[in-house]
Formats: sequence, C-alpha cells, structure tokens
Amino acid sequence: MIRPALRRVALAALAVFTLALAPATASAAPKKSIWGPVAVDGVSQFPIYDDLGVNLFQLHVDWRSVAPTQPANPTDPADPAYRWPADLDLATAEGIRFGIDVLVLAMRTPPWANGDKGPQVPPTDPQAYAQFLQALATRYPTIHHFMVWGEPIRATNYAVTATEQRNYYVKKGNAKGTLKAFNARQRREAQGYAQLVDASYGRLKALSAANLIIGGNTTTSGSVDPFNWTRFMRLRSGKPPRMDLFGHNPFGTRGPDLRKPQLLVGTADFSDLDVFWPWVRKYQSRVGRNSKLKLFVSEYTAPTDVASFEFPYHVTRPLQATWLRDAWTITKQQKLYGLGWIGLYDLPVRADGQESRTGLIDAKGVRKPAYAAYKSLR
Amino acid sequence: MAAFSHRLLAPVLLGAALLLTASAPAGALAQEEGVTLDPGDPAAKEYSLPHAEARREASGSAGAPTQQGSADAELFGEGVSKDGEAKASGDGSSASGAADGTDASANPDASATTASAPAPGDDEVEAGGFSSTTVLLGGAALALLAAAGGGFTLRALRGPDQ
Repeated sequence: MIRPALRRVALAALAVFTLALAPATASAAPKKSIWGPVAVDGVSQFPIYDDLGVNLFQLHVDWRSVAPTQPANPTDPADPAYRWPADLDLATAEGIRFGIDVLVLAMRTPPWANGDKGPQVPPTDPQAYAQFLQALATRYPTIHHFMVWGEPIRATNYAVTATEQRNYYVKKGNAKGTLKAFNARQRREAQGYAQLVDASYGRLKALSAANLIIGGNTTTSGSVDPFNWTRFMRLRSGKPPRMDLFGHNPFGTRGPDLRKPQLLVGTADFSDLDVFWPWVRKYQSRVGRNSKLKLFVSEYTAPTDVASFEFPYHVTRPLQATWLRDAWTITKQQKLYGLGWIGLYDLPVRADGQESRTGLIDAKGVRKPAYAAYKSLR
Repeated sequence: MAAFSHRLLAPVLLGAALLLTASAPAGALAQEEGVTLDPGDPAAKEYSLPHAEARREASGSAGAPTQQGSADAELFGEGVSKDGEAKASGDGSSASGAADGTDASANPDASATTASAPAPGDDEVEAGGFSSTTVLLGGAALALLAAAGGGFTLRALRGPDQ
C-alpha cells in the first residue's frame, strides 16, 4: 500500500523538478529576423520569408525621401509633404497576411531639418525626427519596432568625428589595452544621438505601449568604437535615453563562439557579445532606466564566394551556414531579442564589377546552404 | 550504496571530461578554415573589421597564437573583461563612479581622458550572468544531478513485483 503512494509522490516530485527547469530552456523564443526586398519585379517576397519562418522583417525608411519638404503638420501622416513609399504599404499588408512583424529603420535627415548639412547630420531639433516616426507609426499601426538610425558609429551614416582608425588597437599608444575616451566633441555627438532615441521613445510610447524603440545600433567597429559610443550615449542629465532594445550588428571575420577572447580593444564581434553586453547594460540600463533592456542583433551575415565590397573577407558557402547556426545558438543561449540576417539575396553586381554575396540565395536563384540553415532555426 | 556510487562515478567523470573539452578556450587565433581575408585597402570596404592577424600585430606577438587568460588580458579595455576574469579580479576598486551617473562624462565639456570604467565585477554587471561557460557548467551539472537522481529514484521504486 505504501509503495504505490511513494511512487506517486516521487513522480510528482520529478514533474515539479522538470517544470522548475523548464523556464530556463523554454523562455520566449528569439525573433527570426531578416532584411531583404519586399517585392521583386512586382512579386511579393513574403511567401519566401514565410517559408523561412521569419517573424520580424526589417525595412529601411529614408526620412529624406519621405519628407523632402517640411510638413506643416509633421505628426499627421496625411500631411501633403509626406510621400510614403509603396514598399512600406506592401510590407505592412503582407506582414499582416503572413503574420510577420515589420521593423522600420529610419535615417537620413532631409535638408529642411538640419540646414541642408547633409543626410548624415542629425536634425537641429530631435523632435523633428520623433515627429516623423510618430506620423509613420500613426499611418502604420501594425508596426511596433522602430530603429533609431542605423550604425550611427559610422561617419558615413551619422555625423561622428572619427577616432584615428586604429587608435583603439593595442599597439597605438594603448599598451595597457585601454580605450581612449571620447573627446568633448564626440561626447556631444553621442549625446545628440541619445536625444533622438529619447525623443522617439516619448512620442512612440505615447501612441502605443506596444511600440518598441531600438537604440544604440552599433556595429563591430566604426569611425568610433561601440564601447565609447555606448558609454557616452546619454542625455544632458547624464541619464541614458529610454529604449526597449539595444541594437548591435556584430559582423566579423571569426565564427561566433563566446569562448573566444576579445579580438581587439574597442571592437565587439559576435564572439565578443559576452564582453559587450555587460558594458551596454552598465551604461544604458541604470539610474532607473531601461531595466528590461534586451540585446537585438539586427544585422548579421557572412559574404561568400568572392571578395566583397562591403566586408574585408569572405567565406565558403558551408561556413556561412555554420556561422548562421552558431550565431543562432548564442542568440538562444543568451536570450537575445532576436537575430537578423542581411539579407535574402546576394547584392547586385555594381557598375565597377564588385559584389557582395551576403544572401541566402545567389544571383541565379540557387539557395545556399545557409537558406536551409536559416529555415531550420528553432 | 557503494555499488551505486561506482556506477555513478563513471558517467560523472565522462561528463566532466566532456565539459572540460567543451569549455576549453579556443586558443587558435589563426584565421579559421574557410575564411578568406581579402587584400586591398580596407577603407574601400564598408566595414573595416579586425581579424586574427591584426590582433597579433597589434599585440606585438609575431609568433604563436595567444591564449586566453595570458596576454589576452591586456587586450581588454580597462574595466572590460570576460565574466570569469571579472569575478576573479574585480572588486570594483577602479570604479570611476559611472554607475551612479557622476563620472566626468556627464559633463560634455570635460576633457578627454582615458576611459576608466568600473570593472564589470560590480552588482549591476554581474546580475544577468552572461558567461557561456558558467551556463554550460551549471546546466550540465543540473542534468547530471537530474539523471542520477531520477535513476536512483526509479531504482529505489522498483519493487520485487516488477
């Protein structure tokens, strides 16, 4: 009589133990994200994204093109100054049809917003950018992911004063491996970016609590290093800007593996995320701000076959697939918000004959091993 | 009980050996097989990304690849280290006060200085535990305990009528 009762108790204990372990392994799955065309020759690419199991499609919106002239009512998407791109209309419609969320990255300042200083120079008033995002979010209420600028640590994208290229390499006056901190000008530039992020957060959250604001948006290395950028990306008050996700694009010449040592001071590729993320949290998740901040790898890829005009390296097709799987393993292990692959197709050959084969599908329409690898990600 | 211990010992040792193998630092910094570094001016590329050779050049090491935990330590920015090292050495004594928002960087006009951030050994950074090795070891230990415990329980429950 005692033994069956004991067995039931033991089984119940085992079940409780198993359930107790479950949250560690079965928390919210990371987003499978991708960059790519909305349509090719008028044909929607969303069936392909659906086949791949994508659940977050990323899209660039050119503020300069959408608002070439100053809108009289900048928060009103119906203002006649706005020229909303057909791609965005189609992406949101197809997103609804296939159950794929859409993320927009908005950048490039129109002339009227910064005194015609160029697309990489932020607006004189950060609210001008935030108002644009508010109009966008109002027009497309199903979009809930908003990325504030892309890779602002690169001078081609954002007006940052470049640190001497290898300043943060050990050999160049940093014998102890220390980073030279931003100078006053660079700090002001990072502060200007922080204001864009915070202003966007205020307006987008007021529209919908479901809206997620993605700030930082650093990459492995740039005109300035991602560590200093993260440290000095703060408001005049000293507080970090409000955001939900910190974006990082950890391209690199090494396969993703957290056991590898940091490659160089100031740089953060995929294998360095265990160094970079604590740093981000230290500076961006503090003083009552961003307590639930998560890391989002918006862009990751590895070019194949031939020299790339984007990256100083290329890999074999099988290795591209391996790196993608390894990146996903880390994404899951470390509970990142998601992993974005850029992109679906190899880039078109440029006029100078150079190319960059970063896609899951080559120019002939052949699916690389990375296609199946992406599809199998769970 | 002694017999049970012996049976348990073998898989535990095997598991430990596997764990040690899996968690060994990737020492080889030579460019990985299947990766081709493209010659030419890096400035012509969108991204100027470091690679293993650049790292060796930067560290002044012309020979064998460096091992994590030796010369690599100096390759981290001040206050930046892998989690394991932070736990071993970090008492936060080098902190500049950044965590409370009082560091010099709050003043945009402050002159450039060498970054002296707090070591990530303080509470804020340690919370969150981003060490893959720690997670791996912890998970494996739990799995081993669960397996051993489950086997022991089932064995104990197996009665003469079965």
